[in-house]
Amino acid sequence: MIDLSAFQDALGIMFSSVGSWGWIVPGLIVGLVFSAIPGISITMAMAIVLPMSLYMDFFSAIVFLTSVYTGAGFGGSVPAILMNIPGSPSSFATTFDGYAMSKKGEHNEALGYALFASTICGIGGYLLLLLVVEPLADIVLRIGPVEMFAVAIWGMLLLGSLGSTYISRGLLAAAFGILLGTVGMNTAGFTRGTMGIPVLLDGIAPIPAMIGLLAAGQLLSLAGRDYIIEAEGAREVSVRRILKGCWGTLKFPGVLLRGSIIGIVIGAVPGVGSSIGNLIAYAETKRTAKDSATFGKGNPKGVVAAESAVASAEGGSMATMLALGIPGGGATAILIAAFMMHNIVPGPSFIETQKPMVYAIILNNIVQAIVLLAVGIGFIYVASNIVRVRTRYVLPAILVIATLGTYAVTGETAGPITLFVFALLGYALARYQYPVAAVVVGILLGRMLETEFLRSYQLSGGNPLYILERPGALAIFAVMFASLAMTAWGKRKQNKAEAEEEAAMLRLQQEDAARGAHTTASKG
Amino acid sequence: MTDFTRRDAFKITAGGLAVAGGLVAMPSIVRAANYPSRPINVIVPFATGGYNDRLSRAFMPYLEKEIGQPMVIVNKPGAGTQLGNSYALNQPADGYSILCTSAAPYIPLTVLLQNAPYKVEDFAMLNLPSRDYTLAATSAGSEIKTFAEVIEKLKADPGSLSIGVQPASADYANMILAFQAAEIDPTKLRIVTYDGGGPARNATAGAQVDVGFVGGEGFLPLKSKIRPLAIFAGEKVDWFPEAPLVSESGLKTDFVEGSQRGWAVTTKLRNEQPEIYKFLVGAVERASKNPKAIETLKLQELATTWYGPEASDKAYLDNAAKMAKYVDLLK
Amino acid sequence: MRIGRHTYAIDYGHLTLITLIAVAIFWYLLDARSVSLSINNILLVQPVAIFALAMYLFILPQCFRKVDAREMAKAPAEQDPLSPTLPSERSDMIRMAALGISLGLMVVLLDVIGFDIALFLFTAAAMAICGERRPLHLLIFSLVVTVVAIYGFRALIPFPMFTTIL
Repeated sequence: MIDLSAFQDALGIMFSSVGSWGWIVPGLIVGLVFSAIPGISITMAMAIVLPMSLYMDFFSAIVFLTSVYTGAGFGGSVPAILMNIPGSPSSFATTFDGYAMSKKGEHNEALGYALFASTICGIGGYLLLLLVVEPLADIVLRIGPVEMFAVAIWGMLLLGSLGSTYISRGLLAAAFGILLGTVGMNTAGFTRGTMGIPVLLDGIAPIPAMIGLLAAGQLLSLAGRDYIIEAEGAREVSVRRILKGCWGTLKFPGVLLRGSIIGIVIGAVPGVGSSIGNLIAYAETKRTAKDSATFGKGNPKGVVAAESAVASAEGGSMATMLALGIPGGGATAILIAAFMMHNIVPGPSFIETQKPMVYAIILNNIVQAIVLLAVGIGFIYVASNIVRVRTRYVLPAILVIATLGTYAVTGETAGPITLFVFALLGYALARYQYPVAAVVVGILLGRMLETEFLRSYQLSGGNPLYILERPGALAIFAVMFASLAMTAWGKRKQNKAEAEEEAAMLRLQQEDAARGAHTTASKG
Repeated sequence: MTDFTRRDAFKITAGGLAVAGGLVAMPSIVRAANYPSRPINVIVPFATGGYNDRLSRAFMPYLEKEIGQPMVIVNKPGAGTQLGNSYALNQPADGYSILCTSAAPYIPLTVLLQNAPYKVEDFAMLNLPSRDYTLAATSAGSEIKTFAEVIEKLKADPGSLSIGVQPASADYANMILAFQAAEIDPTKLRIVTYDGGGPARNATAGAQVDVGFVGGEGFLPLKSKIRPLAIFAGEKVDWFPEAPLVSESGLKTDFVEGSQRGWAVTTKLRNEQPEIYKFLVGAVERASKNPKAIETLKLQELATTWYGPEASDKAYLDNAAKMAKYVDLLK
Repeated sequence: MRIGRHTYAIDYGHLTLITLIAVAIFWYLLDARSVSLSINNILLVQPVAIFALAMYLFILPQCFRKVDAREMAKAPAEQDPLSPTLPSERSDMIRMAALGISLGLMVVLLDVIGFDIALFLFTAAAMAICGERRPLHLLIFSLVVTVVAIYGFRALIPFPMFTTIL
């Protein structure tokens, strides 16, 4: 729990170093701009500004870098919403409803929803972190392969909510995606399906593949249009409507809470980060929502769910980093490097001896999230002007940036080539009504599924009863099945109600018809 | 109308790029000599944030001062350093690209196990300051206290303990060698494979596996969460003095040294441009002996020890020979 | 095609797509099995591949349709909200194909003619495909995009880019 005297000291650090607050806005802007470019990862953005932070004092450096991190957490949702290009796997679920809203001309609102969900849950994540930074870190270390396998399965449940016309095609697409995700060297050191190409040893790069698959269906089809949004009146950019979206977020406290919890716990697990949390949060929200049929067609709850999980994951991975010195992903690895450049080694001893500093860092992140509200509104106001540029200018530029972005992932032309190959595949799949999103989910989760399944098998020696020794995994499966069962039950009730309603309508109609027959009869 | 918005849309990009551009351009000290006359690329065949990346970034300012040119770090991760190594070999042998890498055991491993299209001898070491060793460890709360206990338990029942290790690594070879020496059948063990040292360490510290075999240096920040059981080194390791040597457990086993990290160039450069090679050796030597560099890097737990090219090359080639000897254990 | 009393229409495009996917999966399974039959290798790959091949056999009949049943099949099914909608007009299709081909050419040529020239040519081509006809606009905008993209990304990413002019 929170240590009050350390907390007071932390406030002291915060206010005695007000000068370092000045780094918040530049940091946020750098993070927002970089992460809005597809393919430029948070890690890369932070690696670029890292040398600059060397010349600052420790607290300023950390404020600056964590601001970049905070800004980058939201920036990815801008291209996801406006152009259906997720800049990183963590904004994939944002595209589902975000882009659908944009197509309807509700891009202002969609960005507003995303921004508020992102900041509120960012703040929530850090507040929770303030209370439980140490126990959370210990729990995280205990999360083993069986638990992670359960989480991966949970992520795959998203497929159920993709609702394709043909279930068989959806399943084939998902299985194909999973297999694509397992290409290369697996965790036990076996190499499959590389055709002797060295780049494939690490597997198919997910970001180029994802952009390719999604771009084929949407981006290339924009060629025939004059503007991204067809209706002329819908192309306005309005702060009022952005604020309306921001405000609207507050109407979904349940969605925010669920997304945050999923995001924090999964985001804290080293090596997994936020790329799966958003999928689970989206699927859970859609499945439990009363209006689940409108998800994917521009339901703001879809945007809120996805973004809340992404934003709160940041707090989770900061907890792992501060308390254990373990990087949850590339971004926290850079943060650790920055700590070390100032001769501070994060980890168990740091959190024991320097608790006020840890609290001050967390508190500052909360301040950053609040500042992000203002900076973010300005940023999305500028960024959404893209819908007012004619496609003949914007489309070539976006395609060039996306191509260079895929090159930026590994620095090989393999990236752009992957983009193109998957664009063709994506086009063919969309043409014959295969859910492209199922392939993406497969690619994103395939490796994790195999790795964790394999480790569970190795750990248990092949004995399935081993799961009984892992209460955590049992709990995850229990929550998952309970959620599934409750939805099924709810659906049944809903169907029943609908059936009754229909029957009542039918009766009314019949009565109407009968009366009509009467009247005609009496007339005749 | 269009003009205005177009400019607006670009303003964000351009603004961001300008910031970034300003950051990257660093003041350069221009020297009259022919070499080096332009910035030098440092190829790091790992992603940002790893040991080599941190080492290169921390050491760079001191090396820049000796070389007199700015340096640019080029991260080329992938395929167990094979992509970065191939990339380095494809650059012209003009001294404008040098490597900062975990030369051993990664270069021999890519050659032995991945049929990489180069030879171990294609790389020439400048200096390999960081020497890591395999550490067998368990979580701090574990009931296991010594490595002898591990051996005893596994002898009685090879499935009684789970073991976390990275396949096709020096750690894996050491684990198999130790268990063979103890006459334990490795095929009956419950071996859990991890695709890197980091995940294997986390699994060890979190008691997901009972014993982990993984490079010891990375454990330093997690020291309080683990109990070292045996370190596979010939003598006490100065950065982890409390770790008992594997020989102290009474087990007589051969072992492979762990990662040897540091600075290297291509052999082609050494042979074709001996002047440039000598210049680079001198620069690395002076930078490594710079007291300020030593102090700064020590605080970040990064190594600066000067072994020199001959000793580094010997250590690297010895490691490669040993890897080749035990390659069958790794497959 | 006639089988018995029924006339069948074959959806060749669909048939080609799923057969290609099935062949790829089958090859992948064989490749994985040729590496090792150890459970550590095929634990997930083998069952998923077999499942996918079973799905292929299940979908295969959907490529053949009775002609008289065709009208029924064309009844407006509910569109999957998450699957992208493709343009149906002929001119749009041609534009999309042209843009796709230019993208492919650019990707292949990046390393051959340099990033700068490839990007410039692609931008100009893409603008032309999207309807820009004024030569000055084509030239200037493509130049701006190329210069900003090359210099911008050079500053952003830790990898060198092969360029001919810039």
